[in-house]
Amino acid sequence: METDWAIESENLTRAFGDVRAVDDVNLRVRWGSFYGFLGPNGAGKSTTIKMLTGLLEPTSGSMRILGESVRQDQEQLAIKKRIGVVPENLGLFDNLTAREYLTFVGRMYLMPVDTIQQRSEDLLSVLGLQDEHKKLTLEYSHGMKKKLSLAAALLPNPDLLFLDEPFEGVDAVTSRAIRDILSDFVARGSTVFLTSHVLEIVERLCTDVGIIAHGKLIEQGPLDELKQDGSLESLFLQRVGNHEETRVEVSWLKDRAV
Amino acid sequence: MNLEQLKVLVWVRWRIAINQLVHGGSVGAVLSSVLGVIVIALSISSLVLAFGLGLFLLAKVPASTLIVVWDVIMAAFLFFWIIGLVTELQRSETVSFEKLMHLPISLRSAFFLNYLCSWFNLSMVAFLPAMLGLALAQIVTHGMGMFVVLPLLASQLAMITAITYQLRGWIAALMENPRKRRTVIVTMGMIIMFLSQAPQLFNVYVMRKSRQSRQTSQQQLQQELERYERDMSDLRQELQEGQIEPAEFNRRAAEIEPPVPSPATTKPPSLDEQTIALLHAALPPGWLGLGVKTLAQHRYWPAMVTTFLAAGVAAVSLRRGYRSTIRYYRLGHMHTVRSGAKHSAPDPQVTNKHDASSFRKIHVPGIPDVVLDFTRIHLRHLLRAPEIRMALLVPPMVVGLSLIPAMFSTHDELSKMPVIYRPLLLMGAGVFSVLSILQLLMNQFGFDRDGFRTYMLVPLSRRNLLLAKNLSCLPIGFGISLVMVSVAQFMTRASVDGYLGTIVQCGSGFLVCCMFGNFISVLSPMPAATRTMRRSRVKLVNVLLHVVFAMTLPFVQIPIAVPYVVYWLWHFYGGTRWVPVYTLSSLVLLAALGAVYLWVLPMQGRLLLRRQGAVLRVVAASQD
Ligand SMILES: Nc1ncnc2c1ncn2[C@@H]1O[C@H](COP(=O)(O)OP(=O)(O)OP(=O)(O)O)[C@@H](O)[C@H]1O
Ligand SMILES: [Mg+2]
Repeated sequence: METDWAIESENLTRAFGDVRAVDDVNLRVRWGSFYGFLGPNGAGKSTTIKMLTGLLEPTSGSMRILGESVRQDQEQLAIKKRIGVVPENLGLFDNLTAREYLTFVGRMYLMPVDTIQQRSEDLLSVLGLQDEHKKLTLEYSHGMKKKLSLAAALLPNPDLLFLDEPFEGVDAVTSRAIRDILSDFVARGSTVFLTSHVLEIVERLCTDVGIIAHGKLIEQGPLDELKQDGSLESLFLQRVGNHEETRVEVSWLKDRAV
Repeated sequence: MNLEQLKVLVWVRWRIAINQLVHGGSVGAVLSSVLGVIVIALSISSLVLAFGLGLFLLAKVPASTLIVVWDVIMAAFLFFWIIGLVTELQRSETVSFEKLMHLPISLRSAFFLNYLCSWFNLSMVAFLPAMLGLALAQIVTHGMGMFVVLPLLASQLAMITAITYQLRGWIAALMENPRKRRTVIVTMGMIIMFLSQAPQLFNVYVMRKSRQSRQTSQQQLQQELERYERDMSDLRQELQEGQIEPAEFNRRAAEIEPPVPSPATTKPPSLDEQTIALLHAALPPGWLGLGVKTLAQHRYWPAMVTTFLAAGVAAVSLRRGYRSTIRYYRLGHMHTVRSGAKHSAPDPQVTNKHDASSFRKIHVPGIPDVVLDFTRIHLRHLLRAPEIRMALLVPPMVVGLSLIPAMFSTHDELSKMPVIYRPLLLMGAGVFSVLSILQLLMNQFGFDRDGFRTYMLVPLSRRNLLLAKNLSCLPIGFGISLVMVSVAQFMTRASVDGYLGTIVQCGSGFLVCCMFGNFISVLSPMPAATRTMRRSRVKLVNVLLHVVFAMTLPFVQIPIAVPYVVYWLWHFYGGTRWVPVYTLSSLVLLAALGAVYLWVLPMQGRLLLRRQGAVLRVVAASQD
């Protein structure tokens, strides 16, 4: 390990037209940490993940993933081989079955076919998808798609996971299963970088958090240090916008329409 | 490029195709396999046919004829290829880069594979076997030296497909950027106008010159003839009057020059061999013909050089295409941000007020305000979607390609054309432009995608929903019609009656298309892939239904001809020119069709009510 950080970014910026979706973000994610990346809608979380995983080129700034600096003019296959991603749009193919998709992803990581098959069975049964082998992805429900994408990210057993809202739309049983998997994953020394709006889960799982709002990283560090004695929710509300002040009355919603 | 990954990509495409087929229902599977067999049979037979023709007809022909044969084939191929390109522009990739970029896969292989798949289209299926058959026949007839024609053919096609592929990516990328979109449209329009005019200009210029020279030489010939006749008759008279002896007559008759037609009248101007070769060398599509010709003359280097050149162009083009594609994805396409809307901090109250006040501007008696509001919103939605802008762009391009040059070429004839036929030309322009929104009208819900769910939920009667949807297509369709008909009017100088009548006729045509389109949209909705007009995951039954519907459309449009018949009869029987018969009869037809429309609409509304669940299932499903 050449650096202290599994993910490190220097003044990472991404502009869409005149809008700076991500603005001078300096991320520091420790090796083996469970990093929760929080922020209100449209804060720039997905944009950040896209840049870190090579889906989107930064407007400016630099980053190092797993100790290797990311160069924009290269394909970065070596880095990509060591990471697993649940992208914002999931990146599934509609007309493939779950097993076909996992085979595809596994082969892209150049895994042997037997290993792919065996791991696919494990993952699908843990995530409760084992009985859906006839269905095409396009017939999946939203939560089922999420789970399949997560299975694909876990399949190559990567060193670093990027998960964009993995718990969104997932049922309680599977959510529990995912949490267990991720905890084991971090316990063995790998790193997870996830975004989520479910603060309870983040509070229970994460060792570190970063909070982003309007593209700026406004808080970062170990969870215990940041929240001190309060809850994560109060920290989040306090840093992102005061609940009492910003509250706008929607008075007409209090009366029934005639 | 990793061979292993390339193999897997091929496998994935294969699986997707199979799953789509199986999923499309048994009828679809059967139909697709039947179609597949037909296509294979056709290409095999065209290969055999071309081989036979090449063997028996082209065995002994001189090399200068071979070059013409290959030129014609190449030109025909290019023609269909370019027409195909227009539809190609609207297609999206099966395996989109967006789904691969987070995986450790060399995107080069994915790009290359996508490029290879661009080879499989109709013009290729039609022409490749024929070209191959011909090339093989020539290897048999002209000896193994002809073998070079195979790599030459391959590199030629590679060059054409690579350039097209690059162009396609380039245009798609540009179309996403609102600032550049306008430039693209203008440039493309100009290029197409120029390309479609170029042969015409050439024709007009060369033809006029040769016609002039032919005319002058014909005049000369005439004068010579007259002189000859005069001299001979003088001589004959002298003989009759006994002034000269027969021997003297013969001698002097031989002295008088018989009229000799000047060379221009016997032989059309022809280019010498060297110029032809130069022209072919300068125009890359001519390389194939040139190569074949020189090979037939046992000269090898031109074919070899052009093979390498074409392969080089293909490679460079692919490389650039790859770079720009990657850049396109990695730079992230901006979703249309309207200028002006981005700088100022959002002030909800102001913007809302603005939006709200732009409502309720127009009141149309007989149409509920809620329908008009819906129309306005829907129109905005339509005009903002890039795929719909693209779709609207294509038909005028096709019209520009086909109609306008035709009008220019017959300009002389046009001025001689009786005035009463001219509205027909205007109508042609109008029909074309109404057709341009037919694609939209025939699949009105496909482009709503998930938005259709909202339409299902809105408390608006289904009749009014259809009415609003049709109305929102009206400004688009009518705008295009107005422009096209006015252009045609400018060129044909039809009467004011003809012009106004045609505009009314466009309204009638639009009404018919609406009634027709409503039925198809409800009965056979098609899903539209995101950001493209390409219909994805379509059932073949639906495609066939659409084809059948499209074929019946001309018959449904027959009533549109009635006003013209009235107009023609009026003038044929010497009716006065001062009554605008065409406009009046068109107005009557429009009113009649309007009544029919209002009568049909509630029925269509009821049909939609019954079928909207099925429609939603088709249009709102997610896409590959
Ligand atoms: N392709 C794009 N074109 C224009 N603007 C974009 C684009 N993608 C994102 N943005 C803008 O960038 C900002 C950040 O978006 P991003 O998707 O990263 O938010 P997020 O934090 O993931 O939000 P959410 O919690 O809702 O997922 C938003 O203001 C969004 O409007
Ligand atoms: Mg997001």
